Amino acid sequence: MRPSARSVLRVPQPPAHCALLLRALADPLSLRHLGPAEWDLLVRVARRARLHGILHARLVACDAIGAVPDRPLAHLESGAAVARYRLQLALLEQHHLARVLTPLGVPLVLLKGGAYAAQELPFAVGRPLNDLDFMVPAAQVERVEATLRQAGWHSDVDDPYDERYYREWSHEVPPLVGPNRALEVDLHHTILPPTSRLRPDAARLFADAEPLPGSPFRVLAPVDQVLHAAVHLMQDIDASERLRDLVDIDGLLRCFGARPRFAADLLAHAAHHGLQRPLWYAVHFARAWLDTPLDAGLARCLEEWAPREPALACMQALITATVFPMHPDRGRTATRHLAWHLLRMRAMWMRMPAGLLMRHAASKLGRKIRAQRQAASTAG
Amino acid sequence: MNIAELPVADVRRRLLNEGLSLDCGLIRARVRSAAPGLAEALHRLYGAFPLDGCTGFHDVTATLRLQRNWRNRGSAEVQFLLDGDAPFEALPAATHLPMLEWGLNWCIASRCHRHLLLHAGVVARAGLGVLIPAVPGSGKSTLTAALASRGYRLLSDEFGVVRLRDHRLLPLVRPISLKNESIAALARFAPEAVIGPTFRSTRKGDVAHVAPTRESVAARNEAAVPALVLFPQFSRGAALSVEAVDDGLAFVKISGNSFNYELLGERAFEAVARLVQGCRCYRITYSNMEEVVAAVGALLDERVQPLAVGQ
Repeated sequence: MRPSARSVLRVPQPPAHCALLLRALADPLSLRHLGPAEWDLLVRVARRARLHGILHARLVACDAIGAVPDRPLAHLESGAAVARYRLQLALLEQHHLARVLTPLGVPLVLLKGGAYAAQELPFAVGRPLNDLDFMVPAAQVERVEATLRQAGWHSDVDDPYDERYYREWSHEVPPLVGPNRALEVDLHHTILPPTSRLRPDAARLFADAEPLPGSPFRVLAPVDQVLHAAVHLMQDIDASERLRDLVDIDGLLRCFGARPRFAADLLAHAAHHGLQRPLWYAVHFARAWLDTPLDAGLARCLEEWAPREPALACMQALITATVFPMHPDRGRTATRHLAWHLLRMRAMWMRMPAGLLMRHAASKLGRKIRAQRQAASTAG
Repeated sequence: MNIAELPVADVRRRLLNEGLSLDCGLIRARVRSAAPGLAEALHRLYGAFPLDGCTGFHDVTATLRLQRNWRNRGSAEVQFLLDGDAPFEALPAATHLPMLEWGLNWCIASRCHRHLLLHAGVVARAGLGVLIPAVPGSGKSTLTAALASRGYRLLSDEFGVVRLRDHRLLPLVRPISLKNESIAALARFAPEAVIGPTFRSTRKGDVAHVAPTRESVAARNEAAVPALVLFPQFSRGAALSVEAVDDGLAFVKISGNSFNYELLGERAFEAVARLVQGCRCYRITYSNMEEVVAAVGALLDERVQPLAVGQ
C-alpha cells in the first residue's frame, strides 16, 4: 500500500474473504502457489463479483495461466467464454446501430464496457458486458429512438409509470432490444439523471469526445471515462457488490494515467463538471484496495477535494460494507443490508429533488402493496 | 470407501456441518442441508460415490435451506442456495432431492462453458459412446436408464458433455431422473435397479431417481468416443422403428439442443460437425424397453465391427 496520502492509511480493511481476490487482481502471479481450498474460495468470490473472466485474462497476460490447477481453471475459462460471447453480441449490436443511425449524422458516444472494448483497453479483456450503453445529445434522443423503433428495436417496459420515470426524470430511455437479439441497448443523453444534484455539462462531454479509428462511434475523453466510472460507483441506486466498478476505475487510471496532460485534464474536467467528490472517493478506494498507481502531483491536488469528517468516515464505512462480494457461505449480513439501504437512500437523494423523491417513493410503495395484495389473493 | 458404507446418521451429520462431497466426474459438488429425508435419499442414490472430504476444491457449493413460508400457513420449504444466492423459487420441503438435482443442473448449464453441453443422456459400451439428445418428454431418461441397467456404463442422464479439445464425451455421473409411468416401467424392466423415493406431484409430475451402478461411478473420469446418436421418441404401443437421420438434420437437431452452442461459437460448430461425421445418427421410436435395448445393441455392434476390421 502507498503511504503517500494521509487519508489512504485510514481506509478500513477489506473483508478477509476478499483478500485473495484483491491480491490476485493487483498481482496475478501471486496465485501460483494457492492450495485447493484457497482456489475454492477465490473462484466463488470472483464469480460473485463477476470478475472471474477478468482474472483469466490477467493470468493469461502474465503467462501464469499454466500454473492454475485444472478444476479452478475450468471456471475461469468459463467466465472468459461468457465474456467473449457478450463482447461478440455487443460488437454485433454496434454494427446494427451504426447501420441504422449513421445516416442521421448524430454524434454517437459509446459508454462504459462497450467503450472499453471498442478501444481494446487491456484491462477490460474478460469483463462481461450486461448491455450496450451509448449516448446521443438530448435534443436528438427522440429522433434516434424513433429511428431505432422503426428499424425493429423494441422496449419491454410496458408499465406507464416506469415509462414516465425514464422519459421525464432519467438520463436514458427505456432499454431497447433489437429484432431477434438478446443484448439490451441503453440510449443515454448524459451520464447522470437531469434531476440530480450533480449536473455534468453534457455538451462538453460531447465536445470532448474522441473518435474511434474506423468506427462511426466516439468515446468519451479518457478523463471523462474515469469521471463516468466514478459517478457509476458512487451514485448508482444499487450499491451492492460493486467491486467491478472499482476495477474499471483502476484499469482506466492504469491505462490512461501516464498520458501527457492526464492529471491536468482530469482535475480540470472534474471541476468543470462538478464531479470532484465522486472522483476523490473513486481514486481513494482504488488506491487503498487495488493499489492503483497515481501521479504524486495529482494525488496532492486531489487532497484538496477530500471530504470532511464525519462524512468521510460515514461513506468509508458504507462503501466498505457494500462494495465487496459477500462471503458465499455467510450471505448478506445485517450490517451489509443496512449499509446498502443507506447508500440507496443517499443515491436517491442525490438523484432527485425532495418533492420528486417523495412522489416517486410513494408511487413505488403503493405499487408494492398492490402487488403483494394481488399475490396474496391469487395464492389464497 | 464409498458413501453407502457410511451410516445414514453420519451422512446427515456431514450435511449439517462441513457438507457432503459428491464427486460426479466433471463436477464435484459440496452439499449442505438440514432437510429431513435428504440424507436417506442421498445415501441410497449416491451410495456408490466415493466418500471424500469437503475441504478441497469443489465446483458447486449448494445449500438446501429449510425455511417456513408464512404466506402459506407456515409450510416447510427448501430453498436452493448457491454461494449465497437463491436462483429459484422455494419448493415444499419434501421435494428436497429433486430441488437439489434441478439446482445442480442449473449450475452445470450456467458454469461449464469449457465444454459443449447438450441436453442428452449418454451411455457407453466398451468405450463407445451413445449420445441420446432429446427434448423433455421424449423418453430420453427412460432409454438411458434401460441401457444403464443392461450393462452399459452411464455417463450422464441430463448432459451430453463434449470436450472441445478432442470431441470425446465426458461423464457427469448422477442419478437418472425418471418421471411418472416410466418409474414403474423401469422397476419392472430392471428389478435389481436401485430406485430412490418417489416424489409425488412436483412441477414435473411424480419423480424418482435411479442410482448409477458402481462401475459407472468408478469410471466417472473416463471419456468415451462418440459412436451413435439416437433421437428417441417414446410412443405408447408403437412398434419399434429405427430410421437413419442424415448429417444435415442431425447437425441441426444436436446444435439446437445445446445449452451453450451460441456462446461457444465456432468451437461448438466444429464439435457438432465432428460429432455428426464420427457417429451414425438414428431416430428411434419405441414402446417396449426390451426391444429398444436389443436394437441399440445391434446398432452399436455394427459400429464395432468396421472398427475391429480396421485394426
